[in-house]
Amino acid sequence: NKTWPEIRDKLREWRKDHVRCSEKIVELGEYALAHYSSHLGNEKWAVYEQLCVAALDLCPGKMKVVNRCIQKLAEQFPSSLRVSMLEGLKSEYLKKWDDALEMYNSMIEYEPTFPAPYKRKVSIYKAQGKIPEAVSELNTYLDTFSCDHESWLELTDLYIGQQCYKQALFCVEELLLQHPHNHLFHQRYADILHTLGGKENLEASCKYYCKAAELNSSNVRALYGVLMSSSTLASIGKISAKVKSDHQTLAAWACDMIEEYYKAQRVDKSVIVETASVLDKLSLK
Amino acid sequence: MTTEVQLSLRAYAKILSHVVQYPYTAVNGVLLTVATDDDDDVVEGNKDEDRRIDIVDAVPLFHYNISLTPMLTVALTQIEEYASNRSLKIAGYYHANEYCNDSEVGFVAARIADKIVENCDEGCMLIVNNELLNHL
Repeated sequence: NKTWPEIRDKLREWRKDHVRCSEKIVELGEYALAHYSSHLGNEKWAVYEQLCVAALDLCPGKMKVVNRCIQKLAEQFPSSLRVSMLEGLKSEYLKKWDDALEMYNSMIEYEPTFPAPYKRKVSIYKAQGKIPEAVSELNTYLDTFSCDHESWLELTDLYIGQQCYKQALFCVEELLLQHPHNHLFHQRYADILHTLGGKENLEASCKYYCKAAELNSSNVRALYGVLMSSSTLASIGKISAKVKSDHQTLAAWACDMIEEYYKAQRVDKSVIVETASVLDKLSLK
Repeated sequence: MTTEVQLSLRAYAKILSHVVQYPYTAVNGVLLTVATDDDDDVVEGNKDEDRRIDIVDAVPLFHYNISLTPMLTVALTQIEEYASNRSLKIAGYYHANEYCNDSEVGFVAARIADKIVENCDEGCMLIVNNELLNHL
């Protein structure tokens, strides 16, 4: 019940933003290729590729779709690296790890500047539970492709999952260098510092939470982070009265900002009351 | 002494909804049971008796960077407040691993579960059996 331009635009939007809504993509993609093939023109090859990847997500039910897409694309683009990628993905789905690795390694040898096969190798190691190998492979990839922020995020996650927080911090530092105005990266950095703990890390985490809140005043997690870190700093160790007072002022400010945020959302009054109680507890009152 | 865990339909549905909404990442959350006036007696009660925990509700927590502590602390404080206003209490933790063939209790899951359960009179941890999800 969508019009042709709507279908085409929706598929384009999902391709551009790399949205992984595989069921919808398969439904719309199959419909578009069946009914609007001539309208699509050369765009249909991109749709075949998009449909193939989405169908793999829905396998085993959609394996026929996968095979048909690969066949059509291989006919149109013989010896294409992108078609080889799809065959590699299919091998990965079938858990034929050695076949897939062989495919990706030969692609890397043939065209070392094509980033996709490196990342698939990391995914294979992850799927096999070989996290140290995945980390090593991803580090090698990032030595060359150091502007790939998604990969830095992936490596951060791998390190956090292994409790290697110092290495995770290094990855987020790379992200912060490349994207200094992204409030989520500042918040992530602060979260890791806070997890590590200790006075110096808490002081640093407080600063990064403040920066995140400054960049985006709707980042409630950053505000909670300011509250938690400043409250803890106000109560640990030997600190001067002024320092303690500064921390408490900051904590109070964070409480006010959080309360204001909830009030602006027009939530139920009971939520406001509950939140006030939560804020009291987190302020270590 | 054995502990039997009974999961309400509501809790079960919420856990599965959480898992299905984020199939590509690990997810976790907190389990709630009814708080009774007998709670103060539990510790003094007979530790050799068979016990039963009735999980009536589940509260989803995260689906990303599960093991970072500050937001976990905030979330648990919020849930405690929520629970105490509704005669409920925290009774456990649920966790679903990232990979579809991994239903083991990982280090992260164990650590968070320990932290949550140490503050419960009786607590449990549920791990979603990812391999069975395909049969749904």
